Amino acid sequence: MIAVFAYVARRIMTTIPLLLVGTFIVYALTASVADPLAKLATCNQCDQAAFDRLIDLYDLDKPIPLRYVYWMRDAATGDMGQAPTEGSAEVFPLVMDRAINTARLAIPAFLIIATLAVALGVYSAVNQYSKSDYFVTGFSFVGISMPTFVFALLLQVIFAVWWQDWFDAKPFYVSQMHTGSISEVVRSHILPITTLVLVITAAESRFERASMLEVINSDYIRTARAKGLPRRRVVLKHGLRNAMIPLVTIWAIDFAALLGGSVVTETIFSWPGLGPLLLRAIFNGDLNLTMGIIMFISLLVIFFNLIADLVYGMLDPRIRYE
Amino acid sequence: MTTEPLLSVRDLTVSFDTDDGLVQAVNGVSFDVHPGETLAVVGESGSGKSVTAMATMRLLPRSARISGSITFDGRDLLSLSDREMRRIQGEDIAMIFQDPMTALNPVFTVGNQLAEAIRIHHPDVSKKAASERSIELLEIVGIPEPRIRVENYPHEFSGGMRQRAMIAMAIANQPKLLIADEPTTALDVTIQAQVIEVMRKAQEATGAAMILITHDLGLVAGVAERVQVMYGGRLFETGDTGTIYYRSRNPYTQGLMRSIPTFAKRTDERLSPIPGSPPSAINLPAGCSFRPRCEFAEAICRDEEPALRPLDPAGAHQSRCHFAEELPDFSQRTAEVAG
Amino acid sequence: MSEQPRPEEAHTGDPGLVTAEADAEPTTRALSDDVIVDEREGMTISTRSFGRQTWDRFRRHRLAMFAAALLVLLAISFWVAPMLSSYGFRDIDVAAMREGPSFRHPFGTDQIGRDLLVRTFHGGRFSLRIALVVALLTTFIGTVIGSLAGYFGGIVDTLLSQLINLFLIVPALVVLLVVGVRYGASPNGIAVILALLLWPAIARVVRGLFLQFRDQEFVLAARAAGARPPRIIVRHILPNTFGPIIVNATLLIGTAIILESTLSFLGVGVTPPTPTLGNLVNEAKGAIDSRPSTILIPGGFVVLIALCVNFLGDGLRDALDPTTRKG
Repeated sequence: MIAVFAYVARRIMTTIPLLLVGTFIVYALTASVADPLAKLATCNQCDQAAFDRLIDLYDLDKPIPLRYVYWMRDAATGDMGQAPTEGSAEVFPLVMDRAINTARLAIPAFLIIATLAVALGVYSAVNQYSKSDYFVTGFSFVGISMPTFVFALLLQVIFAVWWQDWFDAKPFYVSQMHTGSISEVVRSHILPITTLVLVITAAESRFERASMLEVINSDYIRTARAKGLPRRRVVLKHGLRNAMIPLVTIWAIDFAALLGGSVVTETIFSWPGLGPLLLRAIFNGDLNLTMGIIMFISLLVIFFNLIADLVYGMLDPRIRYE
Repeated sequence: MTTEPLLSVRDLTVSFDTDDGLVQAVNGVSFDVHPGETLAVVGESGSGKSVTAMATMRLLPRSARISGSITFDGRDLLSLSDREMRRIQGEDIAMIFQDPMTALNPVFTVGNQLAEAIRIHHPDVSKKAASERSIELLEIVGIPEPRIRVENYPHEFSGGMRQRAMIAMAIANQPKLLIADEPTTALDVTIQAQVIEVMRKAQEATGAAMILITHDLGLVAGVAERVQVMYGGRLFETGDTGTIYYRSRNPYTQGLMRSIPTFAKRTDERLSPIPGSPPSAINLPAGCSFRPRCEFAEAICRDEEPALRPLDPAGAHQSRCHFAEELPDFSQRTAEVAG
Repeated sequence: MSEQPRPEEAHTGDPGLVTAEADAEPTTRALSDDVIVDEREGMTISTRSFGRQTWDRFRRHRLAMFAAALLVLLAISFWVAPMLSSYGFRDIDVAAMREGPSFRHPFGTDQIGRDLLVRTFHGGRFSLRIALVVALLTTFIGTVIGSLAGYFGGIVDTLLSQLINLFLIVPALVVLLVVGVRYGASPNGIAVILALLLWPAIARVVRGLFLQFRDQEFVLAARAAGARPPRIIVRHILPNTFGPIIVNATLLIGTAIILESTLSFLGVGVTPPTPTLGNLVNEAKGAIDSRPSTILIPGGFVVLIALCVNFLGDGLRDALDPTTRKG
């Protein structure tokens, strides 16, 4: 147990430099694009005092690395600053607010993806070269070849244009969660969730199929069969446990990515989540907001990778935390 | 042999449809195994010896085309349903595999896997009793501190210990037949003799018959009562161990003998590997499949495939060679060479 | 027992094994005589060359063959078709705005009267070109860095693995967005940005292969014979890694075309009026309820290209990398 804690502590320690380098790169790139003064430059009512205030507020007279240090120092104490292009809203509550909306899509999508990917992958592997295997494989090929934006737009065309009368797709708004009927909530969520599910399940089920195939052809599965175990038990007890091990890492990456906001899906379905907020922040050159979202995404990735490592250790007794 | 055979294989033929064509892995093989006896099946890789074992266990992939019959204890294994076959697998026939490093599931403890082997066939045995029995089994196969070791995962065992655990698992239900498929090939030479000894002890403890599959003819002495030699999916020679060792009537068997270092030394002959490599099972040469590598080959060997012929009235010694009777004795020949 | 004596055994000095060495010569001669006989009678395990086997395996993959043919057909039509039209991709026809499909404009026209057929095929041309450049560039960078990291280990390897971790922490799409807003103007610019983001994937594959081959006997033999590292890397190890590299490079074309079109769709890719398939979807998305075909056609081309590339990559994997085949 102590070894596990030591491992976690060490992992966090080794991640911090990476996090600093990563956020600095994004900071420097964004800062070199963003110019808070640009808007004022074309404004004839503004005076020098306004310029000076802005320069002072964003430390614009300082070199970028120094500004990054200031920003990081504030961020470390929990002060993520304000978002000038979002009506000077505080970044932290804004990001949290949008993160909740994103989670409304991410969590159900992830649960469906995880179940579906394992089910399809295992089924396909167990029935290798059968008709249903070809069908699943075909499905995943189409899924991985389909850019998210194409599939999202296709769903919109089908369900919100051609069959709008029948399906009656609804846009999402936050108070809908309290005031809207269940069917309305379902109709606002179903298209974006379907988009996320298709694109990610395609890749994951393919991965799980390959993983399961490798396991099925391994010696210990043959041993299990030679014991006289029923096929189902061989697959579900001896096979699945081993085939899940590599999938855990993939799950961590995908879940973190989902919770971090899907730019394309949320933008297309006008979802008030992190994705469109990030896109807007980058377009408008809102440094504090961009950095706030990046920081949130990075911490999610780090957190879930750590979880994945721990789960990995639980599933595979050969892993030691040294 | 007057007793009823335990296992009776008749005209077994196994082929696989592969991308490169039909692979004839086993070709018209017939043999018997009697209760309690040990039969060694010897041959190079690709000779069809493992496929024969897998067919008996019904562990071949579905793509395998199997014909002939395999009768075990009066029942034709090839016509049983999967469910009926599962009742025999691990209960009446158990198998020990080649590579102990990969044959045990890495994510379950050794004890767990042993107990599973017991409880799948005897669901009435309590978990506790199964666990006690597992410890007992580990003790039989000579694993020290079995009470602690039973909780270990396979990766905490050495190769030799894992193979002992595999043997323990195989004898868990007192099977009537043990099939050991190259059980020592993946092990260090020093461990091999120990594992063979453990298998003998396990066989003694259960009274099981055993099929020992190996490419190492040297391993067979003192373990098997009978030996059969396979080449290119066919039986090439079969007989009592002593007969095969000292009065082999087949050029291929004699070639195998000559490439055993200790044997070659004792008979004062040079160690001489058989030239060439085993035939591809896709496209067997016409006539005798060993002909291209055989020093005695003549025209007839190309034109006509020799039959497996009995060389004594009882038919205990059989050889597949046109010149079986004319072949010089193995020991005699080596004496000539030495002289 | 049937195995030929291994080379290291001949050097042990064990008297029992020296005899094996003494016998080696006649054995080899007998063997080579036999092989001639064997070949005539089709007895050797495989007489086909590696290239021939690869081709045979690939040919059996009908879908991959079909995908390859379709890809070539698409590429040719992207380059040739616009030449046959009298419209350029920038030509505005104010008399024919937002027109539906007609004989003059088979795909219709856009909101400022540009011919969509010409723009779509030009878009396909730009998108495909970007994807090819990305695949080549990424493979080059990834192979160089991956082989150095795999062969030498040490600092290059540490840097590479840290960089891979870095890309994990700061998602590629975010960096793409930020960089895209700033630098994403020309098709070549986008290609370079994508390559700079994608190379670690190839580097990781190549590194793994080099780690695997680095200590194998043929490399040790080359080293013992006095070959210098550059020669060992290029002449001895690299040829063994071609299969997986080609497969991954092919699949990269699909990844690149999806990423490029996504960026362009979000408005941070290639700057309009240069058409790419993603740009065309972006320009048309306002007309989703009135003229969905203007979205579905360029979007469909992206899917078609990516699908073909993935099937082709899959077929190549089966053909070039038989070890990864299942069943």
